Amino acid sequence: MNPILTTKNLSFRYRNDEPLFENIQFSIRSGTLTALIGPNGSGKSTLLRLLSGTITKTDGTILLNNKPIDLFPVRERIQKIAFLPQNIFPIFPLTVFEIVAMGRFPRKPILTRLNPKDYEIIEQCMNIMNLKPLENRLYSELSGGECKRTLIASILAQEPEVLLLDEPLAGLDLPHQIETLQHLHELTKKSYTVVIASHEINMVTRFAEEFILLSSNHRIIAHGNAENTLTTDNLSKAYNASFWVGTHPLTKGLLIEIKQEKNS
Amino acid sequence: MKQGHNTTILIICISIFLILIPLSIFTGYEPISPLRLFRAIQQNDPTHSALAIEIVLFHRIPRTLITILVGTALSIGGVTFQALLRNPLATPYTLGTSSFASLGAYIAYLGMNSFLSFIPNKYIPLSHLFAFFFAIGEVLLILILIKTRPKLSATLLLLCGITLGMLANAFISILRYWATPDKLVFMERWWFGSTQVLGYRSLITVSIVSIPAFFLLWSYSSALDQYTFDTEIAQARGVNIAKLQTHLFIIVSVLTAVIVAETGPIGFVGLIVPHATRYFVGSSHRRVFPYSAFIGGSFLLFCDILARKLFTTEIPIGIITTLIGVPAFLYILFGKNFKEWMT
Repeated sequence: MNPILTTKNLSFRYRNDEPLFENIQFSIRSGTLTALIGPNGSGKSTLLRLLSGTITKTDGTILLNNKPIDLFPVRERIQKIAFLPQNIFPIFPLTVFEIVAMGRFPRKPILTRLNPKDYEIIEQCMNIMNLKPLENRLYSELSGGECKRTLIASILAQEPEVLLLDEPLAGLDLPHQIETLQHLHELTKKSYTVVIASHEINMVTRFAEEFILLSSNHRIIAHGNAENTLTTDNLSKAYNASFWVGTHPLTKGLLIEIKQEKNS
Repeated sequence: MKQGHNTTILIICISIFLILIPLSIFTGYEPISPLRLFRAIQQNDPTHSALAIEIVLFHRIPRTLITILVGTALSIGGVTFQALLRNPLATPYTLGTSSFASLGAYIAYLGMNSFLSFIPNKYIPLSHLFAFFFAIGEVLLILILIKTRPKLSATLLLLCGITLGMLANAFISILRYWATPDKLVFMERWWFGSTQVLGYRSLITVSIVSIPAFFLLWSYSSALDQYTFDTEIAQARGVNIAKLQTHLFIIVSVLTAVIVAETGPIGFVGLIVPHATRYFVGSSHRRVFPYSAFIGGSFLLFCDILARKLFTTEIPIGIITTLIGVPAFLYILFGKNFKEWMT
């Protein structure tokens, strides 16, 4: 499959700071679920922000459909790439419907109202995430899982090609993690490309096809399928800790555990 | 929010205006009933009818209209600043514009017949002129200050504005300390705020600024929804945060400068009306702007009628807005829907 997002010699540093990324290269294949794995502070969020365009790279190129992303008009770019930050901070109460409807923003010319087609898409997105019964509930009154579903529905309403999600599993219990991943996995079958950053390695390996492993010093250690990427060696390098990688007795997938350090 | 619900609120708003406007025109120190006005117009006798017609035409009507506009402007200013500063306690005065306007007015009062008498003040009172230019001066100062920072944040803007406001208040204290009792009376009057106007100059000035400002702010509704939901998502959806913040800050500051220059710092409208509006129609700015304009305009007009009617002598409108505003605000805060609007 062709790459939808490619970075070449991507470098980035926050203003007046040490460089965070230097010459990062990878490509994300269209229609896959890719997981960014790595320790805290390895730059997973920053990488997603760079791809989403909310922060600007210092150097290098990001290609979207083989065309430098800078050459896209802003409006076209934001219609193709949707980004969901890890935490959001709404200040006023909004209903689930209103939040999903807000996803139409990049698609609507200024000063236009929602038309029947918009309502249809909002409806569809709510149905995909099973939100119809919660339509008129306030976001502040939802559970953690319902919040995540609402937010994912909201960015789906943007009709993007690529969804970048920062820690979509954080704060969710096991069934909801599975449910969210299932939803995301199904989206890839509908030709969406999904990139997530996550700490839930074992959960993610059950659904993601591609893995990008980042190390604590902001380098890409490995990139590829689970078996070749998430090896004991690679994980140890990335996290500066010893890992044990085996086969899950029930799912036959990967099972990754950290080795308990001896008390000295 | 369902369509039927919207229509109900709209009908209520319009009927409130239809009651309040005539009430305002026939309320005041000089008793003018609709009958007296009707007779005065019919008689066409310059000696007898002149007073009633003149009072209605040059006092009551402009006063009624300017009160509505000021209520509207302060409310939409409050809506915008609460969103812009991402702070439910913000008002159009939060960033110090009104303090600087007051400082300007006080300097004008002090120097009116002495060191400032060289400035022509035939068309616009000196205090209004000074209030406006001091307020605009502060806005420019904030703009210069925030340009030195690489990234503009709501908190930075908030702290910058509050600090400058304190500075203006310190100067105000000095001026009040120096002022002679006859000047202090002027200052007190200014401080309370009043929509008592003579003729149409103030009304025209306020209209020229507040009507375009309303439509301009309204056009930012969707972007403001995104911005108040989450700044990062807003950015990923193509909202230029820095540009939005700067535009809104300038629009509301100029609006506030003109309003305060013409009527003094009338308090509380800009804080309570936005919250009351969200309580009724939800948080979507596309609805909040027009409805807060309606509610703000009618609320201030209602307060102005009370200010004229409540006691034998007129009391400042700013006191009434607070007297009514505080219990109403507390009701919303501690009423049954508290959880709904405070996240």
